[in-house]
Amino acid sequence: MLPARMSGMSALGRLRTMLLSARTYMRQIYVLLGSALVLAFGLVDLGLVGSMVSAEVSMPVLLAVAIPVVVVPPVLLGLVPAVRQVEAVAAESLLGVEFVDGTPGPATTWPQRRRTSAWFVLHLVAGLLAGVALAIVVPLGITAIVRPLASDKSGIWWYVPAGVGMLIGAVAVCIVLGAVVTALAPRLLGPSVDDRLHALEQRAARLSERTRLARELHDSVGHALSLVVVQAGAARKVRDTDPTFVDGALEAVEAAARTALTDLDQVLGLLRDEESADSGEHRPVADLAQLDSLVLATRRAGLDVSLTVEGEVERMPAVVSRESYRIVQEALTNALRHGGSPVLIRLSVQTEALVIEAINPLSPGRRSRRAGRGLRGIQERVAVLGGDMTAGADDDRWRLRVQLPLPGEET
Amino acid sequence: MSAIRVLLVDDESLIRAGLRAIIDAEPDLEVVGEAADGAEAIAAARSLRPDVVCMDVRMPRIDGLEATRLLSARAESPRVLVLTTFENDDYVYEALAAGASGFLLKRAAPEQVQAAIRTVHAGESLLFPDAVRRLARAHRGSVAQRPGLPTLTDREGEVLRLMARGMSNAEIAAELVLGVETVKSHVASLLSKLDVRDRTQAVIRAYESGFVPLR
Repeated sequence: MLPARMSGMSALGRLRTMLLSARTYMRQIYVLLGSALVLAFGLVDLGLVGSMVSAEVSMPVLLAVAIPVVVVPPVLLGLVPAVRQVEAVAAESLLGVEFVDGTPGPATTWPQRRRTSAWFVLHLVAGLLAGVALAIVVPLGITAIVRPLASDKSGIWWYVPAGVGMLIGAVAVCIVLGAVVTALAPRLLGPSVDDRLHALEQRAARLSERTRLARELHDSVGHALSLVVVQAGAARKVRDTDPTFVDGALEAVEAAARTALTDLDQVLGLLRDEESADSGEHRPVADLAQLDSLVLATRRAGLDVSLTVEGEVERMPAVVSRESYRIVQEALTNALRHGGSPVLIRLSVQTEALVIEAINPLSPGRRSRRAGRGLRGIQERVAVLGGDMTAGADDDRWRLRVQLPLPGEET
Repeated sequence: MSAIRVLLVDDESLIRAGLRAIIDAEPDLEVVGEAADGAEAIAAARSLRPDVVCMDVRMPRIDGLEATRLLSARAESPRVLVLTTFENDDYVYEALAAGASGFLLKRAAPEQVQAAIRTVHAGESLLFPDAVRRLARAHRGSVAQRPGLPTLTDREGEVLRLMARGMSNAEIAAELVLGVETVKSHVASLLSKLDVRDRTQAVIRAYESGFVPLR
């Protein structure tokens, strides 16, 4: 259908285009599917009404029973989530409807189910009307046209135009029904205003998350690397004249690069989390089985880490194992950030709990501006699992102790 | 000739210290002061009268963008060289549009930093013409529509196009087979017709008005 082209046409031309369009007849198939469904429901209804009539049930009782029996089953069937997808696919292929945001899937919310149910009932009503037009009006019309020709009776010539009128009327009703369901399909089957708002909000949230990550990279890694370049360049320039400056520059370069790596680690972690959340894929998340490689990687980043494990951490509920890994990871990141080395990490499996300890020497005067962010992350994980956490200075050491409850023995 | 007086503005003291070492290593350049934000920068520029201000864009309180605008508004103002971590920072183009004479990436080599200060101070050629064009293209439409250029002579038009390509006065003179002094007078008349303070501003006006296409 090309409205732009049709607007210049006469009404007759438009009618011709419509009658010649394959789409007009494809739509009839959709409407007739409704007729078939009506027939199926109707058989049940007729059986019931027929037996009640022959049992001479009074009219009010008949209506009180028959109306719910006729109305309730289609309405209930329309509420089945899959109906939305089936109807939407049929509407796309037969009616030629194009839904914004792609083919609607099964209904996921009650408003969607209610709208689908309304659509299903509408489909049945259209099918009923088309069925009446084709199964009753068309045979009547043909009979009316044929009758005067096969009969000697005079004065019934007007049966012919009346019959032609009935045929045209039946075709017109079917075409109008096809157009009406096509116009209503996007409204009842497609995303509602609420659905689309929701989708937009999600998209905006993803975008702002990306902006946040970009800003984070800009502020942390970009800043640190600029500092590295400027200090290193300056050191090269004054190498022969100002050795004290060179010493200070090297120290600044080392510290800035280390901070940048830690920040990069964090941002990359966020990106990875976002990616797996986006694709909905459940790739294996790191758990305590990967603890050794985490410790190795941290050592390579310049932190002296020792790890002791008591008990069988392999036989841990998956969620505890995953969260424990993240807790150790955040503890190590904190130690890297605050420069406390060596770090002692101790895991011990007890009868009803897993205890994680991280101990490192306090390094006075090297407090980061961002102190506490890692701790908050640990706190949240511990809270989710219903565990306990203590953290703080213990003499000249900094000590984190986390206790996560384990379910009782159940092998 | 006396040394070019430079004021360093950056909220990170280690960046300032590094730049100071790089600049002071050259006999013709001299750091006369440092400031940690835009407000300090304006006060320091007033009392120290530097020739060039190396200005970080993202700073607390008054940022480099606002400070550039305030500094450029005065007559006899120093030239501003904007320092930035990334080229595709929206602030950079805004700072150029606000009156900065050029910008420099913080990751530039020490020799580039020194050369950039000299170029901006001399004002005889455009710093990083390709980058300025990229920035102007990226910000096409984001800056308020500027009126077209006033009527230029054919010669002035040619000179403006060559300026946009980053040519120095001497190079333009060679290209057009003119004397350097003639080119200088064309440039001076261009700047006064366009009502801008230096070539960077002139070239940005040329891009924004569409006089020089942003391919």
